[in-house]
Amino acid sequence: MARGIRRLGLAFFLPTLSAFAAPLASSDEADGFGDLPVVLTASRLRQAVAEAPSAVTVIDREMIEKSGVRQIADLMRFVPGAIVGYNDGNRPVVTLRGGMSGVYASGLQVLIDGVSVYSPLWGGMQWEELPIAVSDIERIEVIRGPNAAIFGPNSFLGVINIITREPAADGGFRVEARMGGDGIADGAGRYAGVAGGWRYRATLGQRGSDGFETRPDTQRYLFGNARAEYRIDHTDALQLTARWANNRKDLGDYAETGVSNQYPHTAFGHSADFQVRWTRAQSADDEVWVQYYHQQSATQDRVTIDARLQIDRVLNGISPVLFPTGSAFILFPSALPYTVDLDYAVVRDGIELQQTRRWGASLRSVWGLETRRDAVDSTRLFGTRDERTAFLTRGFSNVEWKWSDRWTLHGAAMIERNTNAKAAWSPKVALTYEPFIGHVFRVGSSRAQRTPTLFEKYVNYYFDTPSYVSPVNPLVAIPPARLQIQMSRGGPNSESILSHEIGYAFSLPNSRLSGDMRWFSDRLGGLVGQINNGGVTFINMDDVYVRGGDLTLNWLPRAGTRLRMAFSKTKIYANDQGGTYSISAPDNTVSLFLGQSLAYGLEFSANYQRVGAMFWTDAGSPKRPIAPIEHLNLRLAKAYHFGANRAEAALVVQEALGNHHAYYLSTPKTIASRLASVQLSLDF
Amino acid sequence: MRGLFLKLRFFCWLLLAVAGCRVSVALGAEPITVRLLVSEGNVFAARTATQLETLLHNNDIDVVAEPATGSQKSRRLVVAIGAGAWRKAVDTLGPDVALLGVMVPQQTLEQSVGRRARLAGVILAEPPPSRLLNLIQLALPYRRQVGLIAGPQLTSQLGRIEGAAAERGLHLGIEKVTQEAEVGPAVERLVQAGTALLALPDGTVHTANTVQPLLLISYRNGVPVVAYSEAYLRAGAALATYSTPEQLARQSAEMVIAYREGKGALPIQSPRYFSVGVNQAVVRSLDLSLPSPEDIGNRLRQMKE
Repeated sequence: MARGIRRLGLAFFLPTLSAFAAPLASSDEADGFGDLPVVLTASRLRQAVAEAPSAVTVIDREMIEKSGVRQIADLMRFVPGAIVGYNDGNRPVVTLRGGMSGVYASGLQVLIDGVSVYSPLWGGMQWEELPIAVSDIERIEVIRGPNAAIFGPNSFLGVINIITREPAADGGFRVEARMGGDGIADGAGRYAGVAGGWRYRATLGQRGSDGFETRPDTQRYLFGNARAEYRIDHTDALQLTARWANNRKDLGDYAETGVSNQYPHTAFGHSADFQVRWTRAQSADDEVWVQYYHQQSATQDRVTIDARLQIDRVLNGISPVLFPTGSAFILFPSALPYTVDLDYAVVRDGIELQQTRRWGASLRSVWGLETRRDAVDSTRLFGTRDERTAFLTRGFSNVEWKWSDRWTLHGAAMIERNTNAKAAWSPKVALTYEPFIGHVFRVGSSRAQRTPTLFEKYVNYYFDTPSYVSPVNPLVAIPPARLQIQMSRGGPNSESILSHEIGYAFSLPNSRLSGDMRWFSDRLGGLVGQINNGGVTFINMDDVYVRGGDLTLNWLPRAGTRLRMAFSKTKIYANDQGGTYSISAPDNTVSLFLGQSLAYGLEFSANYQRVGAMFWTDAGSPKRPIAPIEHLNLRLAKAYHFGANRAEAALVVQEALGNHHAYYLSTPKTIASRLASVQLSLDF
Repeated sequence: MRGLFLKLRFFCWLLLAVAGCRVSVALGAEPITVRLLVSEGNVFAARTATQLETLLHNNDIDVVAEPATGSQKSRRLVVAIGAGAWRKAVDTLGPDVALLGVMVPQQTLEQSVGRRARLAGVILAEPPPSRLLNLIQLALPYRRQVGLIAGPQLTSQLGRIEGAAAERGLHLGIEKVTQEAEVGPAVERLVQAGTALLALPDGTVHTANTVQPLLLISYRNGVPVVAYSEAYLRAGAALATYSTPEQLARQSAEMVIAYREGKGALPIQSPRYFSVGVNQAVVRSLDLSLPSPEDIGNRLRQMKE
């Protein structure tokens, strides 16, 4: 009922607003001299790599368009040190500083248009469930290190900020389609226009594929998103964003060894979110905004498992001598299918305020407050019908003091209180020095926390099996039992990271060359691991040291040519009590990008990444690294112009270098192979 | 110490001499009364009027501010600030009343040819295009492909602007538009090849409605906008040269004084005094390295327009 009232309220609110404030009028009164709306506000401007107090990678629109990727996660391959793996065809995993966090990569904060989409249940990001098309993205800013002081809790190993395209920067219709091998069937339609003083942009699309040949991972993902802006006057604006998605994906294993951990099945999900933001901007450095956001999602996942796997574990627990590992498969030669529901629903609501202000030529500040409530409902995972919640309150402040032409001091801190962790503060300090124009040195330290996920904190995952009588030996009967899979005993506390870095960024406009490099040293404490103590539970276990460096170069040797190189080197030192951290980072990664304009309006691009040998911490046995992987995407496109209309046709070859293991070394196999597809788009 | 005393005495004599000259000029000139007409709703024009009023008072010139309505026949000199005020003045003033227009768009001026009152002078709203081209040449020397969107107001000047750009080694790409809705697509086309976008005053191209797509699309493509007003700079242009209300008031006051001294009708002038502004937040975000606005301004004033 309350939700219904909220919807009604919004429905009344929008037309009312349109009525009281007319669109900004134009006249011949020497246009452009008087008041104009402040367009490029602090929240719209991208981080300048050379000026930023952190190591930042900006994946711009040109790179996005020419990358040829169909999964947003694959764009992360441009980031030095980033690794993209595929747990299965519809579950990409992105991580920085190695695969320390496994499939949920909970150390990475991900935001869309400034709002966290970090999963409160699992942590990390469900990349396959982003309700936006690749073409909806304006740019992606990646902060390659902790930055909780600005971006909030869980900005732990890094922050990925996805910024979608502004309604005002588009106009008219766009339709795009992509068809190719492995059942690739993607499509999207978009319209951007102006109505009643609102500038808006709406996309409706689908992503579909049959995934890896070796996995049941077919996916059909329908999504829609809309973004609208209303200029109340030259300083004030109202922005609305809404997204919706409906997901149908196959999960499970093909049981190549005869025993299936999860039978192939189909999971269904849907999500909806909206965000409303009011902004007042007097200039690019003088802005205040307030926003409310709501996100909700629900997943229906009925998993059929072979109960022998659990029975074997129970029997072995009773007497390893009488029932050595594998006994259950002798006593029960045929599978014992058992279906459990792994359904869950997540709701997030939050309010946030942020102000950017300049206090003169040398001082600039940003401060903000946020309060957020996360709630997860899952009878199966939590063993209760009650929802589990986390309530976050945080405040932060960031000051940038440029006390001379060459020196700038950045200081920031966040204080957070989360009902599921101790109150914590996350400071950050950085000093930049620009001895010559275009050459900036940076030294900085930062501390951050990762709050335990609701799963880690409250999991009570069990299921009750019926009685089983062995067909081999009828004397052996398994009575009805409760099989406890995972059980939290109070839950872990926050993980922590202390990071130090030294960096250098340069820009040589004469040579059209820019780049940045850095060395970092991170100390991670209390990493959450699992122990088997009558059911798996989570505790803070490992301390890990990570050291490394990276280098990014951008070169535009001539008009129509763009070259980019990113290199990283990482070394992890760990005792590996709770996870196989020490081999979870590749020794090095290399990314190369070439964009080249050719004759006859052709555009060629190549996107290459080599990831050294590494092990995903939850990739099972054997615990040894998968071989180095080389990814190569090739794209050849041609644009056609029909008056004001534009069409483009492109041929894309993904994984042009052939097969490799994308996540697991043994079963379940995820072997990526060469894939060709055709992209068509029409703007009119 | 004695040297300092001598210097002070010299300066005192100098000040007295200058004051004497000023008084003699004021005494020798015919006293006039100035009425200020300001376009309604034009904040910039209102600020200019306030500054001008102060300057005229300081020069012993009586000022009466009235709305741009009613009979104006008794005024000796009317200063109309803004396009609306100018149009009202030329429609209502008789030929016996002198008129000085300030911030008059070129197109508005051309439309009122033949209907104007006795002209004391005009300060155009627009800075000379060559000044903005000089600015690009100075501040963005590696960006020689310059895009320009031309609406109906600019069309007649295009040949002259193209010539001025070519003289400076700039390659001008031009997109012509006839309505606001065409601006966004025009910017999209220009930024594909352009490395800087030049904004010249045009009532169709640069309005409160078009500035959003124009600035966002150009910014998205890493193309800085070089503009002609402080408001544009604040909105998101990377750099601009513009005349502040104080600078326009100063030029206006000089024209009023010249008129009082009987120097007759003055030619139509561009804004003579100007500033250079840099939007540091935008420039930083675009990874541009620019000299200080003061340095650019000083060098710009020395360049031929």
